[in-house]
Amino acid sequence: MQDARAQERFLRGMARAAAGALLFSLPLLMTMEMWWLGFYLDRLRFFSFLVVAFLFLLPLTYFFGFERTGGLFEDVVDTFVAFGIGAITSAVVLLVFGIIGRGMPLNEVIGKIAIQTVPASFGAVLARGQLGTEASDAESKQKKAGYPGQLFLMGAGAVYIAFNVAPTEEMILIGFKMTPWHALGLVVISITILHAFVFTVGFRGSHGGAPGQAFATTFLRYSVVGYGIALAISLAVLWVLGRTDGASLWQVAMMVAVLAFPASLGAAAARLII
Amino acid sequence: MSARLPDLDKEVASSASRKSPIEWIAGAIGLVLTLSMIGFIGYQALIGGDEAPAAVDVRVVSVQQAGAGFVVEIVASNRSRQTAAGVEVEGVLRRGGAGLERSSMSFDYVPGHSQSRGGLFFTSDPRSGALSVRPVGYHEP
Repeated sequence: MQDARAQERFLRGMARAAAGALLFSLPLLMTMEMWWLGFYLDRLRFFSFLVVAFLFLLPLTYFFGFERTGGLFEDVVDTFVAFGIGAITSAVVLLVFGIIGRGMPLNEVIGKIAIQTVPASFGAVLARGQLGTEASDAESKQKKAGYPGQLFLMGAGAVYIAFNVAPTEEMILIGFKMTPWHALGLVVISITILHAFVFTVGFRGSHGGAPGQAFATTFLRYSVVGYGIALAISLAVLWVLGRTDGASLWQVAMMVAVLAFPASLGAAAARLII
Repeated sequence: MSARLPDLDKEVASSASRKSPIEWIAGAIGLVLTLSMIGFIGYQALIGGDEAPAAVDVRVVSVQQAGAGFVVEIVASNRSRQTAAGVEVEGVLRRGGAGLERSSMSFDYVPGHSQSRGGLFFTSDPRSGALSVRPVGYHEP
């Protein structure tokens, strides 16, 4: 009786993770640049990207684990499970779409699945927070993690949104079309929206201390740091995707300004999404 | 969602008095990144130079055997700030009395002050004749 219930709960958790994987990665599974990346991406960069993604997933699993986790070992196991579910979901969808099939070199098939596994496993981990109905201890864990925990969540939100749009050619095309003045405007808008999100979502009704001081502190602690995170993550994502190769410093700055816009939205909305 | 808000208020109120080193470091890094971004783009905006047309040079990097023919690896360098899109490149191989062989390719983009790599295929060995490679045209992105 007890066993059957535990098994049902486990299966339910798996189904929820697969649904989350699908929900979060479907836009990318239907993006052709992502299929190409699977075979032309530099293998060393690809590998380091997968390792970093895993290291990002680990704390995320801690915050929103499939099961209430007991320790680091369980978190590591859960992260592998999320990776596995992400890989299987991606493989099934790519197979059904005819993107992978017989007659393709193994290197290409594995590459195509592996690159999709990253967003899919993000979705698998987040599924608990998004689709779960059971009570979660995510909030108390977040509170305990304090400011560094908040920064990590901002980073995770930035990676998620940035990676969703970065593979498309439009990202670099927008960079080519903009003049420096456009780019400056975009930077200002990014920071403004980031601050508006942080202020309304996270700090509604905050009246501690002098109003001016509260603004300056919040602006520096969350908005400026959040934009810094968005910039760093945008640059890293562009480098992984090979967009920075052969590009001048100026072009890289423009691409980063473009990608940092969605990335900072992701960072700002992390508290809502994640 | 709304249950979280009061916790953050408290967090903000308490953090105003005590700041940990990590907050200073994170704040400093964020500030430096943001300011250098604004500074760099602002500098480019002030010096201008978007109006000049694209200037693309193409040069040969190497010639290698590729399958039944040969491949000439080329690099297109854009010396202007204007990004050139759809850059057509034509290669002509003259081999004395044996006639001409032409090949062409196009780059999707050669971004401003940046380089793009590609290749041209020939059936006869380009090292055996006079090879010239030139950009034919482009359009604005």
